[in-house]
Amino acid sequence: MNRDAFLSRIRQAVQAGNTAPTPPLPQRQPSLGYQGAGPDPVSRLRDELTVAGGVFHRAASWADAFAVVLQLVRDRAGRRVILGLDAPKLETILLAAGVEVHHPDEPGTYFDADIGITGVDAVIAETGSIVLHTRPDQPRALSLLPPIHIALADKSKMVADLFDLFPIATPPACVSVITGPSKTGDIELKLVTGVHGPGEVHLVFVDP
Amino acid sequence: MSMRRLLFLSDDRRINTSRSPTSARFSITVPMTTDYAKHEHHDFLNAQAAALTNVPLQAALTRLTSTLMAGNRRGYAALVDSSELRDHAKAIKQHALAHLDHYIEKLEESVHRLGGKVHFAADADDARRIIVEIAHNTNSRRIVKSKSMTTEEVHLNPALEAAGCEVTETDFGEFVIQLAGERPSHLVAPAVHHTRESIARLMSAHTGENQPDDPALLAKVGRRLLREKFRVADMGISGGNFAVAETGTVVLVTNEGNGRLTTACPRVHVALVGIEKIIPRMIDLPVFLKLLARGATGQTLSVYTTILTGARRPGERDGAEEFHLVLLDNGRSRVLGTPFRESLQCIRCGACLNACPVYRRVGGHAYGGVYSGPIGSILTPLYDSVKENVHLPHASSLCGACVAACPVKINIPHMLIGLREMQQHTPGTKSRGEKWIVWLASHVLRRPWLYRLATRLTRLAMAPMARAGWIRSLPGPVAGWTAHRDFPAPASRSFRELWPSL
Repeated sequence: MNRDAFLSRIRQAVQAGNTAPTPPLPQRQPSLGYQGAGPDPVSRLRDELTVAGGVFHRAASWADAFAVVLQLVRDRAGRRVILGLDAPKLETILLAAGVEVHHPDEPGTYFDADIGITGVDAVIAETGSIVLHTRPDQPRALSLLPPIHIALADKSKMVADLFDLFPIATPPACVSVITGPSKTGDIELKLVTGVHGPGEVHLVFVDP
Repeated sequence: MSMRRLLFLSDDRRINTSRSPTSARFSITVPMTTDYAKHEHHDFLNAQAAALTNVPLQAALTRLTSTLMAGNRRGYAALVDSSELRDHAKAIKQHALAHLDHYIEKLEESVHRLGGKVHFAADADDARRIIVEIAHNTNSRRIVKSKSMTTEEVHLNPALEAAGCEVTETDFGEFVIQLAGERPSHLVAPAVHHTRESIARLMSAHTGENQPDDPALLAKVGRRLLREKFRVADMGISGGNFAVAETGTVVLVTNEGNGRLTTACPRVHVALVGIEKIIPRMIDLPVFLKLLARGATGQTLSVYTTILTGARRPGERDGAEEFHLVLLDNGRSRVLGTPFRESLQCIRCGACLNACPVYRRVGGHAYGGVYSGPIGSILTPLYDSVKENVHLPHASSLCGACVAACPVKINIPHMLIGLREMQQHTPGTKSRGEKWIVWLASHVLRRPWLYRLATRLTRLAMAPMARAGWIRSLPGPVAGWTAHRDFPAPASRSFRELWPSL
């Protein structure tokens, strides 16, 4: 069926069903459903991320944060790392430790990478979520294909509530809101992580 | 509204049982048999009886629905003003549906602005044809799918396979279902009716290797198999949890990440979205996101919320280069014009299934349609056939647990009663026995002397059957009642007889 016939059928149905005065588009009071993050947002972020199965690391400085990342890469025997974060110092540290460091613009690296390292566009304390916008230097695969995802964030990126993320003024091609590692309960409701996306999600949070 | 009358809340508050309480307003004038669902069966009674004696299924259903219902209650309890937020979500949906023509045009304009293409599928046949054409035009042979009920609804996979495409379901549960050649039995847990043993058997047969029945290992095998599919896929097909008219955005909510992979890896992304999934503005999205996961599982958010606005932008390294939005009517516009419009508010979270004392025992396959549980008992008769699905509106105790669980407070019992009423206006579904009983009752209830006489006669007739206050078996047409439970014997004196001495 063509577009106009399709729409005219909808229009007729809308009119036939609109017997009472039609409801206006409701405006939400800012407080409605607004959970917030309570008196200690960082603790809330940590707790929610932990409940979702992620791992929260607090760092006092960026240098500290890089040390945490290096430790994680070593502990997990990560060989190939994709660094989707403009942090020459971190790259130097990883290279010095003998880690293969790749950049997001290198073709064909994602399916074989061990660890993806990203920044964040936001973190949500209410839900323990990491928010990533796509950009040329921040492809979707970074936080998706490698079995381990490490995100680095500083405190300025934290919002209290999911509502604080909206409206997204000019939405990029993809906004990913990531809340913990990939999960499935499809086999007898037994929780299994890492079925498609990363099985491990680490948030290294710089909070001086 | 006529719905109120169905609950005998007519404006004059008189209960009139001698005539039908509604006019023909509940009948739908267009023919009800459509290509909506090539249902699996119309045999609810036998299917539910089989389900009740299926021991592993009973265990699986109890485990799933109890866990998810506990999550639903916890989720709502932890959210401030959850009841008011659900009212707000409902109001947004009501508004969107009351101006759906406007919002479809707006969505179309927004998708065009970003270089996407919008297709209009009036029915299942259209949807299949359009998507096969897109596959053909883009030279897509290998197709991956993320979990989508609309593609189940239009029976897309066989059409694509007939056109020479390889189609792989990538949600783990859907993958299992595809291997088994079955249909999902729950909205969010499609393979709930499978055990670890049956999944291991299916995956062993598929891989040709013996797979252990360990969930973590099975999932690992699934990951490995499906990664290969993602790596080489030409086209990804998804549904859409929400479509934002203002921005042309399609939102996918998953826990595994199959929605992300399906839209990140292949060259082409096709989203088949029901027209009722449209919400007006981006700021409406968090309202629904807050309720969807809480209603479905009790999570604050599902693991992945993927907010897609158009195809890959210049300079970007991944994401589909081409975006096609296929808007699906397939009977929805017909329901939109009736008092059953409220059913179009459904966001497919599965909360009503988990809450329903009937679904919790009989499982999804007993319902025979694509959608099961309380919402399926409304959708299947409306979209498939009222006449062929006579038992579904009655597969409910009208207890209201579904409304209490629903994130958008759809009054499901109300509509089930509406469908029962509609059966009375649909040739071939009227029950003569029921009509005769209602006629009889109306005559007896309007004459106190006759009522008194009838109760006395009933008591006399039943007395010889009673043992210790209970009747084990009743005769004739009421034998069905005592087939599964005892019937209490009438008291020696009725309440009306006791009343003067109280």
